[in-house]
Amino acid sequence: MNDTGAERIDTPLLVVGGGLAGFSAALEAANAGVSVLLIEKMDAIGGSSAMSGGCLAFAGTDIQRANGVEDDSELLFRDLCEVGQFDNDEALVRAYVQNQLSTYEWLRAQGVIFSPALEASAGQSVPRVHTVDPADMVRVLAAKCRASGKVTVMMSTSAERLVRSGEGGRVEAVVASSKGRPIVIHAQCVILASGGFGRNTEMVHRFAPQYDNAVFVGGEGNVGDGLKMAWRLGADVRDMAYIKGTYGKHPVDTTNNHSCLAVYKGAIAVSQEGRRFVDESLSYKLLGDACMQQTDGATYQIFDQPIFAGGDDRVRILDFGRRLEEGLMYKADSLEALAQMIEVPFEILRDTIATYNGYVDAGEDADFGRRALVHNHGALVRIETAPFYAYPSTAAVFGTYCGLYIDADMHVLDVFGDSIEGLLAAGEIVGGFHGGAYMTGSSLGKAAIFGRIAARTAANSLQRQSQSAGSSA
Amino acid sequence: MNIILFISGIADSKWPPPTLQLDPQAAGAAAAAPPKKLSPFDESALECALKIRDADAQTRISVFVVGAPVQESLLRAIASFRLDHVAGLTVVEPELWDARSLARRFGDVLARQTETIDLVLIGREFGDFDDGLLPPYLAEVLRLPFVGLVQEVRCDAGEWIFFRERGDIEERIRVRPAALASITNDKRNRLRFPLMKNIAAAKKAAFVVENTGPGSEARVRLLSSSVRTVSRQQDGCRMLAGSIEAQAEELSAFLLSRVKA
Repeated sequence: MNDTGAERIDTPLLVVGGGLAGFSAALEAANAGVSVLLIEKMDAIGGSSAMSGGCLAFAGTDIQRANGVEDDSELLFRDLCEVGQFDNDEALVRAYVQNQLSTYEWLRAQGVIFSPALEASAGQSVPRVHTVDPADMVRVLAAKCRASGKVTVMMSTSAERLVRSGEGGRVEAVVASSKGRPIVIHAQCVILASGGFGRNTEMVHRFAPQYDNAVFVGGEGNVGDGLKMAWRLGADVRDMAYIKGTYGKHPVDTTNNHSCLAVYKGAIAVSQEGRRFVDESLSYKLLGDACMQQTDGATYQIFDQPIFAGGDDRVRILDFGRRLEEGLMYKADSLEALAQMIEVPFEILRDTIATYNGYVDAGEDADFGRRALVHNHGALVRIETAPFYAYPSTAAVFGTYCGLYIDADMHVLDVFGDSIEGLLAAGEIVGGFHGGAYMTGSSLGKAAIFGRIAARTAANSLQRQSQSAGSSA
Repeated sequence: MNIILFISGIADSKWPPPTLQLDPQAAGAAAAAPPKKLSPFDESALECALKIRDADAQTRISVFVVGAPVQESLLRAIASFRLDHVAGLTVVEPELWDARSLARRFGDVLARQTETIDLVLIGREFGDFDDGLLPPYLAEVLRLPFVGLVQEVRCDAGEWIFFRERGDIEERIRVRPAALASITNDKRNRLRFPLMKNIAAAKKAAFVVENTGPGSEARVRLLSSSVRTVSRQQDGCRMLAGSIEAQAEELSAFLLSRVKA
């Protein structure tokens, strides 16, 4: 107990947050021989990671080779920069691509099971969506942490303040609360992996008021507490202007939290007035922005039977059959009947599709410049074979994809670009990696990759501290 | 065709139940009204009506949302299906327990309608209070033929065809308008999702809520109240061990002892 009555706990490494980034960091550190305390404020692990679509973006994997897909780190690097509109931090993108393949292998070695299905999605020139059961992935890593004997997990324990050793000094402790009991955790190194702030309406409004009426999906604990703690210490932020919803969320259904992206299989996106409004091959974050500018922020993805048949029930964002079965998708034998169902003017919808089909034939979309199904991948297809389908779609904010300014070793940097000693960050809480838009699978990928990098940085730091203490003695 | 629906709603279990305050001096139990949602039977009745409109765009659908009090959120949720008329009907709570009295009140409301009524649809149980008696009572009051446990309704050559299943047999009951049917839930009448444009329109809609008075006709009144003693489960819980036969024997002995107790 200290003089405030709070219990004192000591640990070499404290990880704040029990999602994919937190458990990746904890396990990597444990494997390096470091004892770790991981705290999670909710009563269940997983956070937003567990609720995600389970997509990870990797390049050069055996699954890609088995599917005849040629991909490598350089193409991944170019795609990440391109989809980020070259406004992402190149050092962070490099850190991702240099560690992505080893992280894929590492996840498999831990027992994470990847689907053999491979799909192309937002921002990808080739199919590189590697799919897992995300909740199961976090559970697997958590189990490995427990089995290591090096990781202690405290549930229902929330971090409240970071404590420095004097003005501008090293972060040396975290004031926390465990099931209502005040505690102070003294740590030689702290990794913030506490997620974004999609569940903090006021904070989202501060940076993205245009999303006030959007659907928010994500871990309930994502209220920006980690971000605020670091802010208090002068941490800088990145990408705050790029908060965007992801296109393809059903606007009314509350049971399916994942986007459905028929546009990446050839569908067009139309407003409630029946008109296209965007190049559908863009990143779904940019599609989300365009969608929110339409009436009621609601649109429809329109497609035909061959596109429907191109869905893949092993990939949540392309699982068209389940959406139809659950009554979320409209199906009609004619365009006119479909237009009646969704109350869109038939003549306009018919003309929109006829014009689009003309662009497909001509190889040039004169209205919006669409040249591929998704990013640079896939040839456009006509929409012409009944039955026809419509999927109501709005933009949902699944994650904030912005936050703490970090370097490639995951050190948190302050507003002057100096490292805040003893403080690292990984996962959704960090900014600078995505830039202007977002590649499918790069958020979950980032959680695992950056979590591991943060752990290695922490382990090296602890080793240096130990050597320094040894030489002093 | 003109279709009338009565909708009650049920307590939304996503919300914690409100504190119930019993007052023996008052006519009813005083409790904050819990947030309500459509019951599965309400939803099915509404979907049956919407399907009839899909087949004939001239169909008019009017809905009376009944409550004590009527909740505006429920009115808006129903209006988001682009219906011709949605109105609230306030009753006092004890009346919700009294199907016969409620049926008479609904009869009075329908008697004031100026348009011909071709079909009255109602969920097979009217909210949390009804045990299935309200629909036949209402048919009696309105002097309409009644068909219960209907799963689908179609209009054919000016007549209604009601579909319902009995075991392996599907019954098709043909009735000339007007008629009253209570609807049960079924995968073929699962309620569709509303369109966003209609949700947006419903957000701006204004609703008339008719107050049907203090409920002088109510036959059910709260006379007294007391706290019910709930016996606690005293038994522990453990896995049975041993061979299957030994486990069956032990389980059977336990059950017999409970029967005797």
